[in-house]
Amino acid sequence: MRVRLLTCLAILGIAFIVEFFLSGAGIYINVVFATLISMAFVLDPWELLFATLASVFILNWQPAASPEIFMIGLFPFVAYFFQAIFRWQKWTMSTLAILVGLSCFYALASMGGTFPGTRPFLLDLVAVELFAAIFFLSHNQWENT
Amino acid sequence: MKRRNQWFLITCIAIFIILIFITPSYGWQIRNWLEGRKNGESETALTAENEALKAQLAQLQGIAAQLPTSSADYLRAMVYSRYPFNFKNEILVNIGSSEGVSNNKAVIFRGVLIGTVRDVFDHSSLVTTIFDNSFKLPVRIGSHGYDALFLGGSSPIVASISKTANISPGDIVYSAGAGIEYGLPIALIATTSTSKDDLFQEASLNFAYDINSIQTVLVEK
Repeated sequence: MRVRLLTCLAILGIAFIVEFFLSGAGIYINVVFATLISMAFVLDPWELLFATLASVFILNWQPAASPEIFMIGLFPFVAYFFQAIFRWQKWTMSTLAILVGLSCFYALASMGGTFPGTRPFLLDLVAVELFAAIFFLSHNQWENT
Repeated sequence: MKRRNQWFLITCIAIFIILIFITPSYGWQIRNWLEGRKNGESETALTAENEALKAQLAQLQGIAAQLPTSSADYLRAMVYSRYPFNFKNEILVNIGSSEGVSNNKAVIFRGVLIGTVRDVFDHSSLVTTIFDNSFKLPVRIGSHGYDALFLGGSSPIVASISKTANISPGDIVYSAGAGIEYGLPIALIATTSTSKDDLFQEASLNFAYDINSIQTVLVEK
C-alpha cells in the first residue's frame, strides 16, 4: 500500500509542477484534478482522501470554500463510487470520469459567465486525458516490477 | 502493519483538515514556492511611475481644476495567492476588515489601478483584477478626458468611445468610476479601431507591468 501511495503522490507532485509551470505561461491545464480522478481507480478511500486534501490545501487560493475547490475535493470520490457500480476496465472508466468531471468543473466554475471558450476546454481535456494515460502506464509499470 | 498505515493516514488527513481551515496561508506559501514566482517590480517600476505622472498631467490640464480634489488613504499589502484556474483573475492580499479594508475599494500597484476589492475576510481580501472578464469601469482618456468604458479580460479594451473623440496611441486611460478614487491611471492606448456596430471607437491597451509578478500592492481605505 505504501509504495502505491508514494508512487501516486510522486505523480501528483509532477502534476502540480506541470500545472503551475504552464499557468505561468498563460496555459491552464487542470492536470491535478485529472490526476486525482485517476487516483480514484487506484487508491483506497483513505489514501484518496489524503491526496485530495493535500491538493485542496495547495490549490485553494482564499480562506473560504468555492465551487472549484468543492469539485476538486468531491469529484474524485464520485469517481471512486462510479467504479464500484460500473466494473469496467480502469483506464476506460478513468477516461470517462475525467471527461464528465472536467465538463462539470467548467460548467460550475463558469456560472458567472466566465467560460474561457471551447478551444481552451478541448485543449485542457486532451492534455489531461494524455496525462492520465501516462499515469496509468507508469502505475501499471510500477505494479508489474 | 496495515492498521498502522491506516492510522498514519488518518493522522495526516486530520492535520490537513486543520491546516486547510485554520492556517491556509501555508498552502499559499507552498504554491508560491512551486510556482517559483519572480519579483518583476524593479523592472516595471519606472514605466509604471511614468504612467502615473502622465495621468496626473492629463488630469491637471483638462479637468482637475473643475473638480474637488481628494486623496485617499492607502494601506500596503502583500499578495498572498492568485486564482489558479482560467475562469477568473483574482488575487488574495494579506489585509482585511481588521485593517480597515472594505468592498469595491481600489487596489493599485506603483500608482496604477490593477483591480478592486471583491470580498473582505478578517485578515485578507480578495481582489478582482482588471484582467478579469467581469471587470468593468467607467474611464476617461487623455488630457481631454473622453468618456469610455474599460472592459476587463485577458486582453482588456476600452470601448464606447465617441466616434468624434480624437484619441491616439500613447494617451493615458484613467479611472472615472463611482466608489473609487478619480484619476487613477490604468493603461496607455495602444491601437484604435471602430466597434462592430460602427457606432463607437474601441482601443486596445498597453500595460506597464505583469500582473503575475506583482507581490505588493496598495489598497484604498
